[in-house]
Amino acid sequence: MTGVLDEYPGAAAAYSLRLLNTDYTGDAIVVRRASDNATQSIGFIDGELDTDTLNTFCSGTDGFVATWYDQSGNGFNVTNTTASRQPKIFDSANGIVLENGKPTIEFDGSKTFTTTATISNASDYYMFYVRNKTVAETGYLLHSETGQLIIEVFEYAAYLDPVNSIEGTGILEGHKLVHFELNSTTGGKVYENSINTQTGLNYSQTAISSKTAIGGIYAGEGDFIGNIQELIIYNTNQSSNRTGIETNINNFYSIY
Amino acid sequence: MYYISNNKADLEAYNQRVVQSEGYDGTFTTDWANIIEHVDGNQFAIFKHDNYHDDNLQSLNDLDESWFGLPF
Repeated sequence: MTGVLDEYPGAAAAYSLRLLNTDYTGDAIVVRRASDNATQSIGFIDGELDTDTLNTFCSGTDGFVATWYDQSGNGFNVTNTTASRQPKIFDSANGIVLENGKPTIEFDGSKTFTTTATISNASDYYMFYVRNKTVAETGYLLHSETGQLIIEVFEYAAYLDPVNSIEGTGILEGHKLVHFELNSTTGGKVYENSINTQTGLNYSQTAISSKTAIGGIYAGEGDFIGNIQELIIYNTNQSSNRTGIETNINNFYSIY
Repeated sequence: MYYISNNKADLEAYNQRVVQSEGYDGTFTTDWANIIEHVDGNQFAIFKHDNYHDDNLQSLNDLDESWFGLPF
């Protein structure tokens, strides 16, 4: 299957448990196993996570993700060097954590990935992500301290405006492909499984920089409860590519 | 469960005890848990490891919202 970034290149950052770009030669994740705290990078086989290596490495113990590699080519890997906050990918009893048959990363309300890198100072963002929020009104799926950009925040869709504006209504739990179109000219829109569910959200320029977290806030509270399989952030207009990107993602994950 | 203390050094010592006992490699994992400071600055907390106990520290099942300065 062609990687979504082969077809639609130019992402500012891209995280997944599948290969997004056939030119990417790095690994997907670094996993720490609980039994001895050894770590191992896990790559891809035929475009999908190398589950054989993961099964062998974590057999009989829990496995946690210490690093989620950025496949955009920009090197914005997200990490957590604090053991108690590393999300889970392998369960000692049940094996690889799966969502609809595909590997996923489990956030239980106290897990995050973080970076202090400046991912982008652009004004507009087009985000695509696959998640299963298992507990309603939990957050945050993405948080960037500069401008307090927050995606999925409790009973709201997002916190999008530097003048303290909480926008939209909460996106319901369940396995969803969610797309945020954050355009400082036309406002914010939300698409769930390719259907436009919210529009006209107040939005002004907000960089993704300083302290950024996936699955919670950088400081470690307000954390997302559920699973995340993929997050792609573009800082260029992808309106004309939206349905193509969504189709590529859904063809792999079979969400809707 | 959390351990709480008015003395941050007590919790730093607990973290170091877990780090050394667990043998984190220092590359991908450096700490057991972050020390959380109460917004009033007078109390600290650390997430308790299931296998490491310290009877000298006070335990708390969860940290309520008063601990955190959420961004709104």
